[in-house]
Amino acid sequence: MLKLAVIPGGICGGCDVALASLGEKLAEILKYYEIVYWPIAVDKKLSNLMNMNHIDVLIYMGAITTEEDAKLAKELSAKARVRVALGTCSVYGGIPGLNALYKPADIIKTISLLVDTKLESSALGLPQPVQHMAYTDVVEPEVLAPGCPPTDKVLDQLTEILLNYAKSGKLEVRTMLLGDSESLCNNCPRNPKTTKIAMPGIKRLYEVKLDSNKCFLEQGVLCMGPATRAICTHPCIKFNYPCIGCGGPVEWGSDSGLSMISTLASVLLVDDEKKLLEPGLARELNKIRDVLGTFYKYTLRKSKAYALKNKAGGEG
Amino acid sequence: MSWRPKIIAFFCRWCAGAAAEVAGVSRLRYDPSVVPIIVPCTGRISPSMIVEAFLNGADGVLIGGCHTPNDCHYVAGNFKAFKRVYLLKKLLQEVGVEPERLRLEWISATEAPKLVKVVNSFVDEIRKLGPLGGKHA
Repeated sequence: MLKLAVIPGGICGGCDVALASLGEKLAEILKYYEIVYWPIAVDKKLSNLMNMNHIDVLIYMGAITTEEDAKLAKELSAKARVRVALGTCSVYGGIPGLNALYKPADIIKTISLLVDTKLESSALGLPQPVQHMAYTDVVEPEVLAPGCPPTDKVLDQLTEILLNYAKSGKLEVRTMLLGDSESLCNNCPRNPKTTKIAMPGIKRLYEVKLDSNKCFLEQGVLCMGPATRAICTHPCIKFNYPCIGCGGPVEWGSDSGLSMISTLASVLLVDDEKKLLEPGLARELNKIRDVLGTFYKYTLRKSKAYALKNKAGGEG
Repeated sequence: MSWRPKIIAFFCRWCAGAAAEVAGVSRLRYDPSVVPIIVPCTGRISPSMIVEAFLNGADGVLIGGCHTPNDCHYVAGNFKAFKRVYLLKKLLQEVGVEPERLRLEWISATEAPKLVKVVNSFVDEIRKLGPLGGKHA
């Protein structure tokens, strides 16, 4: 039996649920693997895990938000033969990755303004917060499984990798980013008929009655599809809700926010440019109030924008 | 003390790039802190090229293209550049970089004196802002 450890960092619980909902496939995996740690599923102690000499497969979920998370991620990953980053927080920093714009102390201060408490977390012996990190900032995992939560497509691929590893004892490729290597638009069920997409301005969801068969961009609604990896079977889009980019950039190391800015410039009001001129276009672009929150909702921590923030040394 | 800014300038081949050629032929002098890169069209400059320039040590990025609305050799590449730069400036502000470090100017092929003026004023502005990140390299 191989040893499988599932380590949660700063998580919402979505990844736990996604993994647990593998159902019969989980039973198949458990023919080869013994779960040595997974707080929500099995009753095993962390101290036992820390004393183990090696772990075969380590699945890390969630982001690294405290000293405790960082210590666990480093120490346990050093013992693991195959490291899997599960979920967008773990791979790209996720939505909480937007925290990385601020110092942990400032975040705690803001929270204590909202919640009436004077408790210092250190007084309780709680782990101290660190600058928000993705798991991939601490180690270089062999398998990257993005998604918020990881989709069936990604989990199926992960299951296959785990089973193959159990049978053959090796991985096919050194580093794998799961999902398909194409943008979400490639197989979009809305399949824009025209080769040229003209976006008629920027609209909020409540401002437009959405046609469920027409490309979101053609209806003036921002959709992150063009800059997002195809990790899913378009559940949001089929539900008439635009993609918000939980799958991260199309390729590992590229930058979904900058790609989307580029895409947006290519489609926004393309037929009216010469009428509106710069002031008209600027007025439309001003409708995007929060550039980082819109284009980097899930991937800020691993983005070039964040690298630039570090370089400039600016704050928030 | 004698810090000299590093500035990358992307000029389109048909307008600002041609103006730079004219400036050279006419022996007009402009500040040597600027490294011009000629691209086919300003619409070809992707946001990641600009951000990479900053990440790799540029203190400022200048983009020169054809006048709007009708000068672009490829019909509307300059408008694409405008939209990209406009959004990028917002992004720069949000990550704590002065948006003035990125400038877009329309310079036609005959406007060599304007090119010299723009380059020199941009260099002056970056000198005032100092190096990106506040540390003298």
